[in-house]
Amino acid sequence: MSATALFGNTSGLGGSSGGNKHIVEFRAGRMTLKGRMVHPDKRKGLLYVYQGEDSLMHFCWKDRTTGEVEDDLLIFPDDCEFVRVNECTTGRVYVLKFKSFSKKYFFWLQEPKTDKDEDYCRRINEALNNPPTSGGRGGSGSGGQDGELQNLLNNMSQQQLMQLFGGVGQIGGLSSLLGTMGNNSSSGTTGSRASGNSGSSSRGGSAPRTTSAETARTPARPRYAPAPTATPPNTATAAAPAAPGAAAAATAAGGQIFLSDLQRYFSGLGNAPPEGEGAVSGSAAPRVDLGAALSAPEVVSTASEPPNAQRLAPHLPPTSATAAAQDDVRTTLLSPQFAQAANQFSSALTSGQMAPVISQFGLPTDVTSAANTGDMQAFFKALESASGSESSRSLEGDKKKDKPQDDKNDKKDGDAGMSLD
Amino acid sequence: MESAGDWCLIESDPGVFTQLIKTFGVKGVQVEEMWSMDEGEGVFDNLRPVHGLIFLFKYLQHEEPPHPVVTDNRLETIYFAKQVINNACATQAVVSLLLNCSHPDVDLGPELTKLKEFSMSFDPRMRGLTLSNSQTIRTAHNSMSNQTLFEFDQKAPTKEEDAYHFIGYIPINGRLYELDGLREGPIDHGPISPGQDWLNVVHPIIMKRINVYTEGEIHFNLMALISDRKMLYERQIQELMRETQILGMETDDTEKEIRRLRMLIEYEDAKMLRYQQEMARRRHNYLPFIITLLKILAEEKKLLPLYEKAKERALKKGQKKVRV
Repeated sequence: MSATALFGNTSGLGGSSGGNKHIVEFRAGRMTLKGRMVHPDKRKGLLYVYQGEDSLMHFCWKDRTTGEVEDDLLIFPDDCEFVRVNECTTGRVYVLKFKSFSKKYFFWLQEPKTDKDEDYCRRINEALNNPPTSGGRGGSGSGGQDGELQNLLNNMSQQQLMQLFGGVGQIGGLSSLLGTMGNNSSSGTTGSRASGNSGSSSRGGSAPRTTSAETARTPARPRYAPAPTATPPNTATAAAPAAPGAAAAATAAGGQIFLSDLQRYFSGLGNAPPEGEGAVSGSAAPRVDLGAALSAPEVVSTASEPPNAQRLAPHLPPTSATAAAQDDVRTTLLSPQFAQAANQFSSALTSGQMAPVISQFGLPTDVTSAANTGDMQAFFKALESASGSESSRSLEGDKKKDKPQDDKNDKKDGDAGMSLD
Repeated sequence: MESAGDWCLIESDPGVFTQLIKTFGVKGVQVEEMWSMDEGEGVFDNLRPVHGLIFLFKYLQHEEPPHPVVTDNRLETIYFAKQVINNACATQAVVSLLLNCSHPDVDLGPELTKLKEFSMSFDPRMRGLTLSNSQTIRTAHNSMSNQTLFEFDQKAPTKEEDAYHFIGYIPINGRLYELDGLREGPIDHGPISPGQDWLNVVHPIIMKRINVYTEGEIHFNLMALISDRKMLYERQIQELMRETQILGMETDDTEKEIRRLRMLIEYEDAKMLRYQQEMARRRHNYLPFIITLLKILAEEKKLLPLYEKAKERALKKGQKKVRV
């Protein structure tokens, strides 16, 4: 039942919160749902919220008598609300509801006085939906994003910074931090998946607490979620006093920092300043699978050009030697096995885990660091500018001769090629 | 094709299964996919003898077995193994069928014979453990899986994963059994009367299942474990040749028949070659290829336009999903 019991407590200090300060705590008992009725669990308990080392918010309930922590839920911002159940008149019952799934957690307040009930409720919501590290999210104006980023960086420990920039090994660093930032409802779906992964289905939207490495990885998911801009507006504004949208002026996305923004920011550190491409800003980049993209006719024709096919030939799967190299490039590109590998590649790339692998291919550091950001576009851009500057000039010349061959396919792409020439 | 990756650790593809079986050291059998069951029992005509059927479907929980589960001493003769680990379910379904197969065409080979002798006296759970701990089976199984470029958790984010499950149908001692590693025992589907083709008995059962799944738009996949085609054709040719030798003359008909059989053999050979190629593609490490391709595209400045297009597509797809 208890996640902590299952996974053990990673840091033994000061109870379940591992020495982390409880942001809110008050005495409350649990309630269990039987059929359509909730029944109080008579044990004395403590409900509290704390922020873990990984910046994720933990929502916990512990038995005050035994000291055992029985609920330890990882909460993603804007995924849940803690509200009073007004239908219950015999006690002060509150429920923790998630947006992304239906599981509910009921609690009854055991504080002797009622005067602070509302305050506790408000503070719980605030802590869960507006975690401290993301600071002045409600801050106004166009500077909101940078300020928020600044805030984020300032609040990071040295270890976290190392994780963020190190990339290798601690892949989840950047993303775990992002998990705490306004990732809107996408983080909700994340949560439910995460719990599914760790095999504790009852946990629903919040990943049970596991080792820090594990938790660090789970929030990486939001980037696969559909663009947050497209999600319906926050329905439970009451639950999130400093709701997103306050800083809406900044971008269409509502002034939150999205993964792509931060990724672009970091990719910019290693690169030329990011170009303001209107199409991208303000919305999280969707998940792009290369499987389909790399089997497009223009790719096939480009790859099949003799000089290119020759370069690719050594890397083809060892199928029959009878067919000409060109044919094999073509079959390979169109094969489902390649599509699968390409999709895997794109997933790996967007997860930001590819840099160590990429670096083995003797690519310039610019390209490798772009790969590290997990932004496919940045990676491609770096790749293009890297190849544009050096040896490819001569190759480009060669291409001109071959041009007639793929003129048809080239028409659409021509502009981009030309403008860079 | 994309969903194939989500089904099981190995693809449910006749080529994969056929090669898997060969890797076990089993001879005389191959696996063919059944595309349709609509034409009645006739669908099996080109496949006979069929030793067993493998049915893959999305696993729905809490389905009550429609027929009695065998727990009596028949378990001593039926090789039934409980499924202990998930990803091996396809392999386990095939192995279970093979180990219950008594047809003279099927040669289990030393490895599976040993395994069967070793674990026959075990209870279903222990048998399952034996199967999943068998080095031979595991190695064969893993060699079928697609090359994973990187060890990272890439499946989880795509979509809620459906659990797919493989079960086998096989006639044993005059009765039709369903072997489902998630059950407590084999499911007894009743007797096959003497002289009756077991395929006629299993056909309506499969049809019923398929109808349920088709209505629910659930993926399913049916494969038949059959005798090695090439072996059968060669045997037939030899027989025809012997006949002509005995008769001392070669009729047009036999000549034609032999030619037809030779063509079928060629067809089988080509198929096996294709399986091997597909397997080579499956096992290939595409990373150097992808990187080189990206470099080429980058040099020709085709990479970013490509990305833009792909992103547009993804955005459109994404929006559709969100609206639901």
